[in-house]
Amino acid sequence: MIRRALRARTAQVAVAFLGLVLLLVITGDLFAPQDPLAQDTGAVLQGSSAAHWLGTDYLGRDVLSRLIAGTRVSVFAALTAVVIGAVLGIVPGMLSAFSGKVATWTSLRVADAFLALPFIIFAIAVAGLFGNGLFQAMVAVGILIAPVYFRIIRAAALSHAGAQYVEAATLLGAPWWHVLAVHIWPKVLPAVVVTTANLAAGGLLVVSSLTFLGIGIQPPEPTWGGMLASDLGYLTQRPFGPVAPALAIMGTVAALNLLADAIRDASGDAGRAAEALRNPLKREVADVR
Amino acid sequence: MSADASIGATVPATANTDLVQVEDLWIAAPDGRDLVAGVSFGLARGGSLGIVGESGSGKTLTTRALLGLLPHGISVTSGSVGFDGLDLRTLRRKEWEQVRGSRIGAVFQDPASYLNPSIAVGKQLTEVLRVRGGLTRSAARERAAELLESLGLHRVDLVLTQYPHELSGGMLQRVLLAIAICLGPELLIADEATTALDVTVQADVLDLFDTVRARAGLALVLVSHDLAVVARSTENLLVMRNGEVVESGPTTQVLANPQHPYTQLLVEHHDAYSLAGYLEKETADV
Amino acid sequence: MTAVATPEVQAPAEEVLAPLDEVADLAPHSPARGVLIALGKGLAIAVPVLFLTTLITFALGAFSDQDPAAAVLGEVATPADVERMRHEFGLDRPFYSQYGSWVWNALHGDLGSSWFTNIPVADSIVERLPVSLSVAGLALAIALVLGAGGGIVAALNRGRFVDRAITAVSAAITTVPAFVAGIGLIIVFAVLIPVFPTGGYVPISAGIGLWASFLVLPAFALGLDASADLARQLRTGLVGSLDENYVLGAQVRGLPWRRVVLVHALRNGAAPAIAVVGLHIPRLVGGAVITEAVFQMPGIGQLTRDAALRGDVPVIQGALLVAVLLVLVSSLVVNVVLARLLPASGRAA
Repeated sequence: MIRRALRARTAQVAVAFLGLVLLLVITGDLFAPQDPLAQDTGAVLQGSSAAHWLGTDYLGRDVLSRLIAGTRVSVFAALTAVVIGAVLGIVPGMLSAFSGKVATWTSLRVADAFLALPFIIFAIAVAGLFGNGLFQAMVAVGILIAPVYFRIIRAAALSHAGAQYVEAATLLGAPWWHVLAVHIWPKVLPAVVVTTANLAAGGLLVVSSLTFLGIGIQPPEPTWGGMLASDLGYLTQRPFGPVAPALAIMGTVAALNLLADAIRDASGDAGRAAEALRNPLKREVADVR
Repeated sequence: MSADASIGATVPATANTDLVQVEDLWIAAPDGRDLVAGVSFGLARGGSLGIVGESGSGKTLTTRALLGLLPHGISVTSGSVGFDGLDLRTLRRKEWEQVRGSRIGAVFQDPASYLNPSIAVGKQLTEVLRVRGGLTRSAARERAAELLESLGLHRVDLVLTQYPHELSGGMLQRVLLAIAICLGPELLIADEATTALDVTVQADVLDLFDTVRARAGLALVLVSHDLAVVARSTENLLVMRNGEVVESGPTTQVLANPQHPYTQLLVEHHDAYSLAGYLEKETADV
Repeated sequence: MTAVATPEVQAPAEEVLAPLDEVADLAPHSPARGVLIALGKGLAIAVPVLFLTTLITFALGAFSDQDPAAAVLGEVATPADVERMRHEFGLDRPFYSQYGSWVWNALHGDLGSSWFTNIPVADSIVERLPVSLSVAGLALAIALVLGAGGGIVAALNRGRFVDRAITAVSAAITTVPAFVAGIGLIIVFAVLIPVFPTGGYVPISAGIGLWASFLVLPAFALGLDASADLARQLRTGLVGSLDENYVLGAQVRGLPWRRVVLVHALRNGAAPAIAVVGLHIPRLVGGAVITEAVFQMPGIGQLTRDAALRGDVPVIQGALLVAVLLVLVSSLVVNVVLARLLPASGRAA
């Protein structure tokens, strides 16, 4: 599935870009040409030069170094939300394909309740209520995206729950966890992968938004969103200042989404369950069963 | 197929008085493949023409050319399609809108799919009467009820408020027929219009065609793969295969004495007991 | 969408000549009834959802480590002071009792008062709601106009340059987060070509033109994403329905092409797009927070952010409640519109 997805040129570019981002996450500011926190009051708000490839910010800090150093925080926070969402959403999603009417109805309404909460406001509220922490905020986002996993995985699992080999396995007395792990999991895996890529992109956007608002970070620490916010105050002096962090965010988001598209295209039917979120009518149809 | 087969393709008729004159019509797919190759026929005012052939023989495309509604990418490459002196190939969209509905009506197979699933059937009928026929809302409603009643529908007021999914195939085909004839066209095209219906309903709808034709002097092009249907309702016949006309002439003559091997095959394969008895009676009458 | 109709139609029963009583079983179908059913169904879902979300909202505040006494009085407070303050805010009562009175008061328009300013939360929200509603409403309007226009134009020119251009542009736009779009718009239309203010807000009473000039950029920033998504969904839906037989049927009747597209094709082709609008509404409400920050507008978003940064629990709870209410009401409206538009879909569901 992955190998087939990688045949597309766009997918190769996306993977290369994500590889670079991941490298920066692992190495941190190892490759940063300068200290991301070092101020140089003699050289504030500069354009690009040999010394500062991407220029300097309002405190004379090197933009490229801050961009590199800010990668880890942004990506870690996004992954926190995705992992929590996956843990809370995937197994219940698979189970709900086999659950009774009452349990199904209740779980769907609970999922709806969570989906009705506007992510960002909720994340801001949680961060505010629990000590202005980015981690707490992203845990909250993770809880909010769990229903997305739940919905999609449920839809994917539903299309196999009635299959004869599943019924046969149940009749032969296989325990439910065995049926899920051996029969259902491989079928929903493409949907899981596609959803994860899409949600990682969404998570990154939420992180960037929060850090942009100044939620969950302490000022000197560099983040992509925080850099955007500080550049916003100096547009008249350095109008293209926000371009670099904006491109970092958009590039990563686009790469994740392109990868998700490529995997979905390559995995055929199973991956298309992830499409359910994009086409709510299909989602409704899937739920009727 | 062979060149001499298409020589006999013109149905004998005096070209000048014909309502429909199709001459040497060629229709091609986007990849250049010929789907209809040199079809010619004429149809007199108030006359009837059957077109039979297997699926993919080009019979539906030929009638679609008469409506100017070929599927995306498929186009007429040469020949002429004349309707009452008009060259239909030269019509622009606006001019087509003046011909379709008011001068040429059509009904098709699977009537449910030709009605908008989200609009009550009555509204779809009155829409045509209002937009094309210029009737007021209330006059259109009255006329619609009249039409449906004349086509043998019961509880017309109820039917008018119902949606396509609430009606049966036979009822839907009557509604579509009402829409097709409501503006008093001169030509009705029925493309496999009775194919999906029950045999008894099929007979009812075919009877309706006769009634409507008698009432309004309507010319009919009836496309079908079913020889019995064509034999029952048409005076002249085209037999098509692979985009070409392989045989044509008066229906009874062609079916009683098929010349082309393909027509012979069709007639042979057709249930002898459903067709033969009927034909004997017909030929005896003539 | 035709899949909706076909299974019914294939039913063998042909009632053409059926006895009258059998036909009478088919109840007359009125669109109003469908709308009422949709409204009922919507409320049946919205009310439990509202209950759950208020519970979550309130529980968050109750179990957070924020305490008005510590927050307001600071470290010099004596234990007696803290106790008195906690009692004043009712924080010494059990959770269910606190929740009960919070809901009861909320139903009466009382959301409590800010721990810091003592200003009633409801007042702050009422004061700031017009700002947020202006931005979100205009953003929705922009999304609908651009999205519908783009989607219809693309579908009608399927495969041609216009279609490919619209598809490519909307695909690109969906990767741009609202705050990046906002910053981009500021750079281009407020700094490089200064035609609009870089931020701020004036009430509509200061003049519609002035009011609108402050709203244009934020509304575009917020609405672009939704409009791109809408355009893509509408194009897909419309291309699908333009291929349907009922469109051919409408053409055969000689109906004007514009009518065929706008009445017959759009009605069914727009359904997924309208559902997508419903999905975008929480994003519009949430995105307003970011947009308000980018453009320094005194809306609900800024109120929430400031409250969050201070730990002002009643304000956070009130703002969340209003946001959820907005989302639920909008979803209800979308579902009712869908029911009105597609009476047949009720059968399929």
